[in-house]
Amino acid sequence: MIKFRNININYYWLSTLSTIIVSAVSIPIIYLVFRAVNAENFAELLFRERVLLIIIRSIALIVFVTFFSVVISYLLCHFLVKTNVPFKKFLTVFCCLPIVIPSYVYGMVFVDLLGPKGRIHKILSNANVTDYFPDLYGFWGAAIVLTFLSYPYVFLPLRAAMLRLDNSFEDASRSLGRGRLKTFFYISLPLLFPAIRSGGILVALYTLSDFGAVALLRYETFTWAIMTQYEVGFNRIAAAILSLVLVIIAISLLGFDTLFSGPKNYHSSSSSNRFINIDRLDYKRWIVFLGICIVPFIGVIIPVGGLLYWLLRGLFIGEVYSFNLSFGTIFNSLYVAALASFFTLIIAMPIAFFAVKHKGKFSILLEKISYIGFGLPAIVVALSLVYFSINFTFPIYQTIFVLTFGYGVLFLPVAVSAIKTTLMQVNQNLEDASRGLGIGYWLTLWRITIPLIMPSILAGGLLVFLLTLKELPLTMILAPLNFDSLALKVWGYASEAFFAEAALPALILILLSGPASAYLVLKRNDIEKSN
Amino acid sequence: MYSDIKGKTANYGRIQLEEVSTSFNETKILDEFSLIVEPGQFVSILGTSGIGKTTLLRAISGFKRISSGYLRINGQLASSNFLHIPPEKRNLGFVFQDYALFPHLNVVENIGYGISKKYDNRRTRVEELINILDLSTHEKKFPSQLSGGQQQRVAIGRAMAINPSAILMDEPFSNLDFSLKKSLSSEIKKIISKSGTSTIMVTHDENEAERLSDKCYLMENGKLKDL
Repeated sequence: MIKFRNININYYWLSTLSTIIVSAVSIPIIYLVFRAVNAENFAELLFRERVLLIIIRSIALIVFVTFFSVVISYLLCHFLVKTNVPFKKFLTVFCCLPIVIPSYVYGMVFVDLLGPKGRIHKILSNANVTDYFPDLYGFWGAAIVLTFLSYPYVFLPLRAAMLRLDNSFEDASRSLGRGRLKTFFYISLPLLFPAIRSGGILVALYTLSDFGAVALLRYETFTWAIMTQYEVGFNRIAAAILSLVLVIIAISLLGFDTLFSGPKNYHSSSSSNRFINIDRLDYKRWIVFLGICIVPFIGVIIPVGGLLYWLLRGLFIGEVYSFNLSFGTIFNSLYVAALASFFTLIIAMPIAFFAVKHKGKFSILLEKISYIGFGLPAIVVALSLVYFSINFTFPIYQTIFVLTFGYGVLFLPVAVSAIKTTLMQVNQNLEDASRGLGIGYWLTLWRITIPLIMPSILAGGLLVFLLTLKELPLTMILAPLNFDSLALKVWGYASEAFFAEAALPALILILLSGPASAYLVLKRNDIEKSN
Repeated sequence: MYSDIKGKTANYGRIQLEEVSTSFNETKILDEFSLIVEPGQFVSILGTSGIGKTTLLRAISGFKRISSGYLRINGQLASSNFLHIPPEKRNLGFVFQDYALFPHLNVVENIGYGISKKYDNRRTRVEELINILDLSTHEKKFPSQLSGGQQQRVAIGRAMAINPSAILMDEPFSNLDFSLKKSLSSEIKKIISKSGTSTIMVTHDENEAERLSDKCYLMENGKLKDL
């Protein structure tokens, strides 16, 4: 009787908290639907050839970027986890770094380097070989930039899953006569699929909501079209309708994700065989080392190199008149990012716990709705919050509260995903053991579960921190008056084509994110050691 | 290319280790280790934790390379310092300490996993094992839905399904309670004996080893002592 009562109370609290959070997070969608359905020419604006073309373009980009992010991440994880490639820690940190490069920064460098009349184009035209150079503007440019910036979203959960995967499953398969390839397809891939799916969905939603890269590389997807409607056309109804289609695509993606998920909570069955079989490569490990380096080279060195070039060129040629960069700007960036990551973790935990501990249709629904924020372009979230705060919570309009809440809406899926993936792997027996020793439900969560998943909570928090540091459109719209941040500085200069001036805050932004990335990865190594 | 060690000869089921050495992080685990398991024989190897019992099984099954000596399965050379036949070509059934049942496959799929889909009697073979192991009411269940004893039966069934030259068992009964351990181990021993499959079991339980085995050895300092 007591047990029955306790279960209901715990369910009640978690479901209530999650419902309140998800309802608050859904405000942008409610706003969007409200604006769209109130449009007089709704059908006329919706059923257009242009909308269909934008849908096809967006989906093509999503499929390409997600597929290649998974392929790249799997290869990186395989070689970094299962071979004796040298400088593993360095490479792991290096492979995570593209996550700190804002897409608008990479977009600018990419255009300058590989676009029509870019530096490489000029070099090739001097040698009269431009005909052989592919046109990297449009789809291919956007696809390359977004793939090399977003693959860490798959790399991080996949690496963690690979480190945790019980090695005896693969050994058992091979002892039963299945070779490496069949073992990969029948055993490793299905067992790693939850991590691939959770990372893949983040990449797909990131691609769907990116504005910077697609705008600079002139590939018209929803975000660019919406931004154009808002900023150039001032046509908020048309933008709301386009956003509605975007939300439907995001929901379809999440539905696709649900279709392939099952009631599979894989955790290691024992600690007896937790060592990892390392393939001892001889001289080939150096070839693998170079191969791995190519990926972060494209994702990190090229954009950072481009920024350094602009900065030095600006300094030597004298383009930089004034850097006009105060410590207050740097502090603002760090302060807001820390606040956002703390807030996001607080609101992510009930949703993740509810989804794992009380798995059911309702908890899955709430979890899926919480993912929507990542699929919406930041500008839609920002404008809906402006509208909402003006109409309902005017005292906090254009304050740090609304800005932090906006980041929370955007990055909630990152935190939920990080916590949920590890929470699923916590052996239920540990909690049962604690409950059996007379410790209550909530105290068990506090004393057993949360310490066990703390590395993932911190990892999720850091990921939100890094994303907040570089977030631009939402900061532009929701920031309080006279508020300045590194991202705003970069955009302010870059949009005026002061690349040399933009380079310094962009480099500081990347420098500030680097140690956080390193910490994130080293913390994951601690998980490995502690196991 | 490697050839499978499957051909049924007079030596089928014979496992022979001749002065095999292997190390882990520069510590010698097996030091000129020799052992012969005759066809159909049930051999137990006793030893304390960390002595290298699991490494021995991993070396025989091909998950661990040996640095010197010769390892023969069915009379054919499987491992030496110049040759290493991969685990999937050795035709040995391995029962892991934690069973390592594939969590995403049900009982039928787990047992049938190692049998080629081209094999006509695949379904018959799986059904036969399910009946022998008394798992017919659990066919569609996943490992997480089974008790420890049932998981153990599935692990044995999966290893036997491929008609292995020998079965290697790594502390197979250590996760079971006392009464279940005694009844299940006797039952499993009967099933294995009936199939005539050679078996090497490593354990730290002396009583269990004496009760089940045709021959017992003690492992110490990387070598074997006859008991």
